Amino acid sequence: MLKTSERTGDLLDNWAAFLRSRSVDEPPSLRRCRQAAAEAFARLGYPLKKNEDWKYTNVSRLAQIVWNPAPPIERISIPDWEAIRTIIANGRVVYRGGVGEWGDKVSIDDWDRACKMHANFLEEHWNQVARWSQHPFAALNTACFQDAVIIRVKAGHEINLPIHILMHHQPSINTGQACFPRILIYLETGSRATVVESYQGGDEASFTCGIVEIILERFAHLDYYKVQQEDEHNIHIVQTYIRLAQGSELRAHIVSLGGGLVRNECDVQLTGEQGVCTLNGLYLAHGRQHVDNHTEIEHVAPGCVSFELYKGILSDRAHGVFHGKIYVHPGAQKTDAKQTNQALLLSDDAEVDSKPQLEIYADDVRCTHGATVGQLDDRQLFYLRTRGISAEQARNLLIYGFAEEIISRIHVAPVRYQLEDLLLAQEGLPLESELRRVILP
Amino acid sequence: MPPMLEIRDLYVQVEGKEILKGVNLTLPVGQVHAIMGPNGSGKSTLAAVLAGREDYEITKGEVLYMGRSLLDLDPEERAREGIFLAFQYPVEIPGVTNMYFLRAAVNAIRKHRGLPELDAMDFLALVREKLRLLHMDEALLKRSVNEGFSGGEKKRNEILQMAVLEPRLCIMDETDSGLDIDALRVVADGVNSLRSPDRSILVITHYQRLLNYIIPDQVHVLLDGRIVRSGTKELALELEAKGYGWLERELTVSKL
Ligand SMILES: Nc1ncnc2c1ncn2[C@@H]1O[C@H](COP(=O)(O)OP(=O)(O)O)[C@@H](O)[C@H]1O
Ligand SMILES: [Mg+2]
Repeated sequence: MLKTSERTGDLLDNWAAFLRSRSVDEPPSLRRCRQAAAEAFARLGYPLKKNEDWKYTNVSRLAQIVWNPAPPIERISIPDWEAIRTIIANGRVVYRGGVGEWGDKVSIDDWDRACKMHANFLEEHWNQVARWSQHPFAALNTACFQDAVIIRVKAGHEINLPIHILMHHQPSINTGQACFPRILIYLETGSRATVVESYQGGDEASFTCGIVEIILERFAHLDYYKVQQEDEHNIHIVQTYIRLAQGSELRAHIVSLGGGLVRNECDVQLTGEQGVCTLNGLYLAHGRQHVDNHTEIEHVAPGCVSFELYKGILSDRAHGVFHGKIYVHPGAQKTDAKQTNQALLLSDDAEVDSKPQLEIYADDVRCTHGATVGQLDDRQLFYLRTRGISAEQARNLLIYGFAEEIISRIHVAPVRYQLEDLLLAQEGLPLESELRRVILP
Repeated sequence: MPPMLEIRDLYVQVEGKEILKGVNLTLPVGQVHAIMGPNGSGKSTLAAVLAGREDYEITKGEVLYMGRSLLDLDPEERAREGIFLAFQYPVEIPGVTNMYFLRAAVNAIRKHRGLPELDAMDFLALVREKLRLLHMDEALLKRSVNEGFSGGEKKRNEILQMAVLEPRLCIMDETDSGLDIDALRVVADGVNSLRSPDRSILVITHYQRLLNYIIPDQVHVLLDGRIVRSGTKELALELEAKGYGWLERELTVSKL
């Protein structure tokens, strides 16, 4: 058997050869960065269980496979809801819908184009928030990513149509294929946008290892959705790195529906006063799915607000993990941080591990955290059943009711409808939603 | 025609403790009966058993609903067959709007009766009419079931459900408690509008007050798990005047 270090070496060699075969002309500093990231990954290796950050999530499966680039794919269907859309298939940007009337307010480029046209912008903003030198998967992505989507919203503009990035991973017979999607979302001062990222496809021998960097300049406002609905065996490890400048606001919605081994990381730095960061998390896991939400919020500047609400619905032998770190720097007075993590267990074998971690070095702050794990309530079930509702429908209504607090915050209708359909397919839609869909198809 | 409800020698235990100790009661079709009794006498236990609560153990006796045995049916089957319990303490269901819940219930029952399900528009028309009847604000429909409702709103919401679901047998467990006199009148008017020759109503109450508005055909007194006396509506007035202690003493004396 090969040692893990040899496998990481093989992996990097394969990818280096693959990347050399492409003709993208990367700015020299970024090329050096790739090299440094490859060295970092070789040094860090895959994280082991004794690593505190990976205590509840075992990634030893990853080390048993030499991951290869996924081959290009020919056809992909384009979702029919209206958006400014880009599609990454097997790691490459294969479709870039026109930005149309928004052309002078937003630019959306792939890696090749960004390197050609916006090298200066990249040198300034690329890799600025990703902690690639300390994080094995961030290092791996930074070393290996083959393509990227760079979204840039111009100062003072509001983009009313959702910007949608679809990541499709189509497995081939070649087992052990990886995709390294990479996204930069940059909102200039005072701009507003909605970005939806969705992940689909994959199988038991595929690996999605992504990085999303989000930079909000002063008073920018981003509504951000990450909807992961990959095959329920796929491995999905994606870090979302976020930096908020003064007065900016991020509303993130992290929804996990698929994947076999899923790790959603959100790493937030509030670097300017009055920044507001909301993380709404929802995950549904069944079978043997493992979903780990790992959040780190760093209050660097005073007077910022962070609000986290994560809800998980687990059945069968599913395993949920929530790690919530809040770090308040000495200067970050008047910090207001609230973290809530709730899990609904639908079977005796489902389990959840929750680990809040508050490190507070300022004295005038308000930081709270709470975690609850519960089951469906018998009294509520009985009440519904005495109204003629079947036991199964009653359970589904209560599960929906549990998730509703998150769903109601989702303002992109197609994303919201998808969740309603998923949770309520058998039961009929909430009336309000049905009416809305008839009126606004 | 069999009676709407016939309870024969019913014994019920809750967590090993005997609560109902041989209840007998017959409620004919089209009538309104009241059950009165002090706190802890077993009124809510009886109501919950009729609605199908599964964690209460029936150790003896039977219950017939329109001549057929009731006790083997699931709660939802009983509801679809026309039994409705207005709870003393309605539960809150966060995240499920009243409107969604009500329509799910109406359609479950309509389906069972072989009627087409109501679409959003038809359902709204139906529920609006009932809201008017109960002087309820339409805004309550958009809120989660009972969540953050005042005591009175919860009780009205129970009667709203009853009006929308059109049951054959209505069981109202202390619907009057916690209502001020105006709300009590509105609720009583709502209930009276549901009175009909093919519907029966069992009004459970601690106080006589409600029976001034919903005039019962008969009054039963439940004491320590047994019906100890039945009579006309004057019995309720007598109880109000003399208190439950009067019957308790009388029973003790007659046992001696
Ligand atoms: N879930 C329960 N577990 C244990 N005892 C109960 C439960 N529910 C009711 N009881 C007991 O049963 C008796 C009757 O209660 P209940 O039916 O609620 O009376 P009422 O409605 O007439 O006030 C009381 O002594 C009460 O304490
Ligand atoms: Mg009671």
